[in-house]
Amino acid sequence: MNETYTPAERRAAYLRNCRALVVLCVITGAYYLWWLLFDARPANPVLYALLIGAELFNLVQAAGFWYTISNQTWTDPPDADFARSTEHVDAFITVYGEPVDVVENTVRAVAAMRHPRLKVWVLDDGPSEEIRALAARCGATYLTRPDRIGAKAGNVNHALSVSAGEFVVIFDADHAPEPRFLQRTMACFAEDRVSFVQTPQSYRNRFENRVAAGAHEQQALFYGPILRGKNAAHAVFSCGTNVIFRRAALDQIGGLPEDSITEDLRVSLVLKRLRWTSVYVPEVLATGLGPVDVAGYFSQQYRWARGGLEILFRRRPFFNGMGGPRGVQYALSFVYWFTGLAYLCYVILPLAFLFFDLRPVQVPNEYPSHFLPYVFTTLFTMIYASEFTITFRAVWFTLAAFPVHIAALFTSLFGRAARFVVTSKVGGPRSLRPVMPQIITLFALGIAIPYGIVTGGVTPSVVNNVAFALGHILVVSGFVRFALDPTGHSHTTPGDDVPDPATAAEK
Amino acid sequence: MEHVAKEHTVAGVTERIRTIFAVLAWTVFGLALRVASLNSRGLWLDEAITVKQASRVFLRVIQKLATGVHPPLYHITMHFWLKAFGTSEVALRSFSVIVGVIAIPVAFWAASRIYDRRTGLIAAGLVALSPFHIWYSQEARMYALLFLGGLISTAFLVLAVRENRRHLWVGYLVFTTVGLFTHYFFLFLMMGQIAFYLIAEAWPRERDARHAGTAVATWRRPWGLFADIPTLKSWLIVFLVMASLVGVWLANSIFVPAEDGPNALMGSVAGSGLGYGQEPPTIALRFNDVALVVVQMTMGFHSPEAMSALVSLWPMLIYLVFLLMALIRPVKQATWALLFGASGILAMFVLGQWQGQILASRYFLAVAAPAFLLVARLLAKLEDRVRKPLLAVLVIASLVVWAGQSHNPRNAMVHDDRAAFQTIVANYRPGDAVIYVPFYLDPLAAYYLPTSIPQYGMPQYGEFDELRNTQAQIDEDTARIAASAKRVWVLLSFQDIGPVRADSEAIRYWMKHNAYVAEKHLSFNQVELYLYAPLPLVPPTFFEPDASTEATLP
Repeated sequence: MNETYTPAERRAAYLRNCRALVVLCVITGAYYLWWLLFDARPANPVLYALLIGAELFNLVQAAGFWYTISNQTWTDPPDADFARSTEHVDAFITVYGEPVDVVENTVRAVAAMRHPRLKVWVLDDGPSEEIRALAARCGATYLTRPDRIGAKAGNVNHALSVSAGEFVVIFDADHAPEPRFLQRTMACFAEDRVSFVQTPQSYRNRFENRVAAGAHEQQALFYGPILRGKNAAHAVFSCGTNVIFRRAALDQIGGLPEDSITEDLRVSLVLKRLRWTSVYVPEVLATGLGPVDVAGYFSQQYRWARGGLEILFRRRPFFNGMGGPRGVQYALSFVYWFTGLAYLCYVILPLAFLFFDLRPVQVPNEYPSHFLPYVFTTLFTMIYASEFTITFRAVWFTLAAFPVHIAALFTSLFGRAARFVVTSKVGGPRSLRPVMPQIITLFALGIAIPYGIVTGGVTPSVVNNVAFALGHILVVSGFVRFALDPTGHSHTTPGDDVPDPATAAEK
Repeated sequence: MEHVAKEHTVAGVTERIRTIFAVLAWTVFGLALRVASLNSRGLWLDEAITVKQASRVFLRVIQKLATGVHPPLYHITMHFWLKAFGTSEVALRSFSVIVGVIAIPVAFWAASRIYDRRTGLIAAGLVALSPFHIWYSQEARMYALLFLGGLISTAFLVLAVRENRRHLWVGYLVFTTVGLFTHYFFLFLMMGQIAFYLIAEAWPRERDARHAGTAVATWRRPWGLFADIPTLKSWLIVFLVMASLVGVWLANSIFVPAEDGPNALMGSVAGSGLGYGQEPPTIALRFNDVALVVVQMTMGFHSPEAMSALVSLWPMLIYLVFLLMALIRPVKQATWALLFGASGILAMFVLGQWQGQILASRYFLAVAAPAFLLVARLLAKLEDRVRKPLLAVLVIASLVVWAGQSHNPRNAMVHDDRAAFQTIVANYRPGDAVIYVPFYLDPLAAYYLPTSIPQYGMPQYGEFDELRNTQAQIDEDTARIAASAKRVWVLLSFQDIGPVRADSEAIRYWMKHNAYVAEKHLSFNQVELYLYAPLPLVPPTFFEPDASTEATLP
């Protein structure tokens, strides 16, 4: 992986082109929206409302994306000179039942980070004698606690109470940093109000597991243009690992909040309210293990969605001065989790037509003239903004997880508080159970196509809806295939890799 | 070492022989597909116009073309071709067949020179099997030549910019000029090429020179650009020569009025293609027309229902973009050249929202050439496990589509005037007259009907070259023709055009209300044929046309 930063003149051209594309997107988006709201003649009011709802949501999300990519900044800190500083750094490795070899790899990598005053802590919520022995073997301090209150946040807070370093770097048990991790990031703390520095997540097991590969690619936009855009708005949020905190900031808020399963997002919001800022260094400095089966991926998505939505619904994140560009950026982070609901609307539309001959708008011939320019300009902008790293797998990993996102939405609205679940890195037995909603969707679409053709004939409207249904089948079927064979060829090899999202521009 | 070098050479020769055989196989296969269905449809109007135009005395050909809608190269070539080979349907179309078949090895040459051998072979296969290209390789019009010009011009531009050698620039000059003198829509390709040169070659070189501090050009010394951009001088010379040649011809076509009426070229740009019954240009969303062009370029020509269904598959385009995402990467200069060239497609789509006549797939043949090379490149870049089965599917699908296109009697592109005219000839009796609608079918009537048969295009032209298309005028003309004949054949084509259909109904209405009865009504693909006779009814003897009798020029 090439770790050289994009030359400044190339960044300027990239940003200029992004902005030009955004102007095009705004024109085509407005053109489509105008037609949809004022010129389209509704046919079935319920379906029209669904279409409007889904499209408005998408347009809001797209507009947020356009805004974000128009304002990207690259933090390119100088290497920190530890000979001239005096700070102490505590490195926390949070462990909860992960395989010993995985933890050992991480502990050794953390211990190898270049810093003269580094103390490595293994925070075992297991607890496990093997991990204790491993910590001793590697020269790390082993720490455990009698209960598991507060899950990962509680674990870290416990360690904060017994450690004293001015800075705290946190790694999940599978995320192994490079030796230069601290060198490349610590200079950002020269600014007094910087509370934490986040670096990208990258899955090193993407070469042998296609679920991990998909999860890696799915993060391409986030760790690329989106976080660079949030960086410009000082709205970077902690992602829980590969992150360094200033202890003073954590002390001010009493440590990581223990009332959320996404303590990383929550702590970011709490710190921002107290006028702390954060920085994103878009350089891959640590690699971890992605989910290795569909159940693991869904579990991860569910936790992130549930945590984010619980904060949105129950913690009133936009009160207390969270306005302006920063508020917009956080709002966009929450809005993302409604994607599943919007996608469900799109699935319903062809089903309604093929089964019941119901359509959202009349004169469907006018629809593509307004819709396609918006879709194609938006898609191309997304491809360009990702610096040509985005893949179809990344798209369907987002869309086809719609049942998980919808479940998270409803449980966060009506369900009990969720508990923290560590994403499995070893994979469970092969099962179709996690993908039952996808199988039901495929079944419905698969029945709808012949039913629509038999009852409606091969008319343009039927063919058009069949095409949409086939598209959904293409998107949704991926997880079913992966559930059956998660370790199949990932089609990602080190030599022909999808460039790391965060550093893609370095090609 | 010598042994290794020798093995290497042998492997290279074997590879070369295999490549030659592969290209030859594609070429022979492509020829077979084009010849096998060459005569499966009759001439359509434009092909008959080719006969009319090219059959004139040579100077007259030039004179007519100078104020016509098309540049002269194709018709001049056809003038000599018809002299040499006659005017039968096969002779007429064989020129396009040859040009179309030549495009197969040329596609290989272009793609393999621009990219590599694999891309070359795929490009040759795509051209050989493309139903769209096959169709226009079987039409006695300039479109096969337009594609070939586009292909060679594109390849020469890429190579000339890359290698900056004189013979490559000369090649670019020659074949771009050929393209421009074949059809004016070659301009869309050329504009893309100019944009490519300025944006992807000249500007980056000047910018790089400035960054490197070696730039010679300044605002006061703009000629320094020739030092900063090594290809600029050659490109400028080529451009100026082309512009001069085409400019002189075009200026004549635009500003010199035709001897028999207003300027045809400007009329066709600002007016309506065929001039009668077509709507004048208006700004409107023509998504279905755009989608139809895309479908025709990829899937060929089929029944109206099939085309409509294929157009309705447009959502698949979104998923196609999704699937191709992984292949969309920053491209090299050669690919930029192709992308800029193919961007003419987009320009024509946009222009088509004003002048809807442009949205006919045949006009896209020049800009389709770089698009074919791009598709070949895309396929060549796929992983083996995807590419091989995909190519197999493409080959099979192309053959199925070719068979459907060639033999479907309901092909939306076919107006089966030939069958209708041959029916008239086979059943003609002295005293019969033929009315055909619209009047501009006259080149077809002249081709298929002997001059001994009285024939009238309706509506007719009046004394002052005005069209007599009011109800009263049509009644009057129909009455006059009917009065001079024992029986009247009425051939109705282009019934999808409103005014033409109205004229047709007016004639049939007159017949019905003036004691004429339709003894026979035959439906051919998009053509209706009636035989009217005055009452009392005399049962006619009726023969099917003899398909083996090929009509020739009277």
